[in-house]
Amino acid sequence: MVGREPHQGQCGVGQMDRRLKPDGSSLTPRKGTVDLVGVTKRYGEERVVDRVNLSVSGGEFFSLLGPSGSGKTTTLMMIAGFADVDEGGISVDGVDVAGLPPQRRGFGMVFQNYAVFPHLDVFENVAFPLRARHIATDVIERKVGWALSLVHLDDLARRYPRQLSGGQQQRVAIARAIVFEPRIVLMDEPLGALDKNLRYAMQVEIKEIQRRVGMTVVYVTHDQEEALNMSDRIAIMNRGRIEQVGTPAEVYEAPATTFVARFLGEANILDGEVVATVQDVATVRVSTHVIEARTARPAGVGERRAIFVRPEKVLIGRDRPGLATNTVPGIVRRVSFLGNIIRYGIEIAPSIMITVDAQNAGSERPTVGSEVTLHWHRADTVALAG
Amino acid sequence: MTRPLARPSTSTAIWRDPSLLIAPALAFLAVGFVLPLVWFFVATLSDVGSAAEIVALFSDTITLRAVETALVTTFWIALLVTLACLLVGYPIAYYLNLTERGRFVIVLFCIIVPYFTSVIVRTYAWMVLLGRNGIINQFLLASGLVEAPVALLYNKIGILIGMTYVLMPYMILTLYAAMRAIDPSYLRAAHALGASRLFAFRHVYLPLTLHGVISGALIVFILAIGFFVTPALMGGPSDVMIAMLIERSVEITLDWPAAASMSLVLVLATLVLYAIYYRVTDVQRMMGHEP
Repeated sequence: MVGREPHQGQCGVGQMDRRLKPDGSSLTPRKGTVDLVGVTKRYGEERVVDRVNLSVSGGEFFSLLGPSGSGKTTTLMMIAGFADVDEGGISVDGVDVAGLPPQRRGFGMVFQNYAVFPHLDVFENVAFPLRARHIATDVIERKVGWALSLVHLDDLARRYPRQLSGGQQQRVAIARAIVFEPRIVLMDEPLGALDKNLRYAMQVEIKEIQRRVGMTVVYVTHDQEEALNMSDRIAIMNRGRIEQVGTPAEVYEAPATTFVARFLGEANILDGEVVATVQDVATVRVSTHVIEARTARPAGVGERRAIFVRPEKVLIGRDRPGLATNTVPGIVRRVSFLGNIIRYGIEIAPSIMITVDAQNAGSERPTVGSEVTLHWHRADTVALAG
Repeated sequence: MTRPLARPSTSTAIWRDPSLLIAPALAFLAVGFVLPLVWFFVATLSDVGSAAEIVALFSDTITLRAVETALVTTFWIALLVTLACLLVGYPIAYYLNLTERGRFVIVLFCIIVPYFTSVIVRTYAWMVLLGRNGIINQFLLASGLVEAPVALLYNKIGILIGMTYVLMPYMILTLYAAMRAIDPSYLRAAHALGASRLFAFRHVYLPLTLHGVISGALIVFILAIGFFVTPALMGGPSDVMIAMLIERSVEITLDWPAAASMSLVLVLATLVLYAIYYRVTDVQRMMGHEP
């Protein structure tokens, strides 16, 4: 990170530059960590954010993912300083920021509706945080040029926002948030207003910028694909609480709760009863079938557990026995053609259905009414508590 | 299949062309305002003679010392009133935008309700307050701030106070509308990106309300240059505004051609200012600020 553009041999944005002296020495190392301890926000009696604990590392891309009303945006607004913290504490690089107004917290910020100033052209929009910090004009020129090249808007510096597309406006907002090289950038559903195709391209771009600049990003979204694609870690929020924190693979493949399992995509969740446990493997009876599953927390015999397995982990075959495999017979009830995949609804017991996603690879396709056998690996199966 | 369309033809015409809805108002305006105005100019100026003679009369009239003075006074007072409205009105409009609903209603009530009373009544009320033995002077004398009563009436101060008061709501409501249209996330973004309150106000809020400032100022200025009652009642003998001079020419000296010339100046000034106003609101739409 040392000596990256546009730092070489210049002095500019206060203490940030000390950290990036050419010899790599740093007087006040600022890593860009964010810590939330027991953070709570109440509106009347209701706790919209309920005792949230989080620890975001420097340089990490961290997402707060949840449905609307889950408290993710309120949490971000408390970090930014726009909402008061009722209980708990927020610290940045180990320093409590409770008493600081937003303008003194030094974050970069990107909003869902872009909030690009309509009366300023692209250059002046991006220069805004630098002008607010009374940076010298020649430094501003250089830094704005650098930020605009990062978001590929070099040619549009003198355009006004009304002359730009939504995607371009959001690039301006991103350039504006990183131009003063904050260690931490907060993003509040920045791609929510863009159409689906553009969204994916922008995800890749934001991730690339974050990787190159090395900043910490705290990213709020309700789009699970977005969170999975971009994040180093994801915190899934529901009703003001954090349900699970983990890498995209962890939260997707080993959800801690049925909420997380359902929120991160299609999930089969079957109610059952534990009939045996060996170490971290539980044997669970669902209707007349016996299914083996991993357990995060030890399960007792007789306990109710929900069996979880992703549709794409289940294979359809006549007979494919193997070790550590669950095998369940069923009858095809539904076939949906979704393009790249074919989604089957398979009844394994009266009114108990399993969804199976098969690649559209041209092999034989079971038809409605045919009898099939389902296989999936024990490692892909989780016995969820509650 | 083909149900008979029994709708009367007039109502279908209205549905097809909504501009018919404003036809009665336009007709009234034409008969009650445009026609008399045109008639006045045509009747009085045709008496004068040829076009050259009209131009001569026109330039003679507006270069008369009294008319010149009145024009300067008019524009000067209008300018001062506009500035006063802006200075007092901006903070009030700003407050209206920030405050919660209860207080908003009360303040708005205080701004609007007095305007259900006639201008004359309100002007007399100010005269009671501002006179030599008025409440304000009594207070100033009693508190020992002044030795002798301050002249607040029958001079420019009186006119300024009276006109500023009467024209204030136009400024406040115009500014309020402009401020209302500002997405609060702009200020939020400014603060998040390191701008102090003052910097955010100076570089984001003020520029975004600028079209409102210009619109409000033009409305107040246009109304102020044609003002008659308040300056007539509250001004002194030297504070003659152009509308008062027109009235004197029509009523006292019976010099209608002179009145027509002066009216023409007033109408032209108003039209020019209105054209500017139109441009500003157009620009505002271009900038994406729907009022």
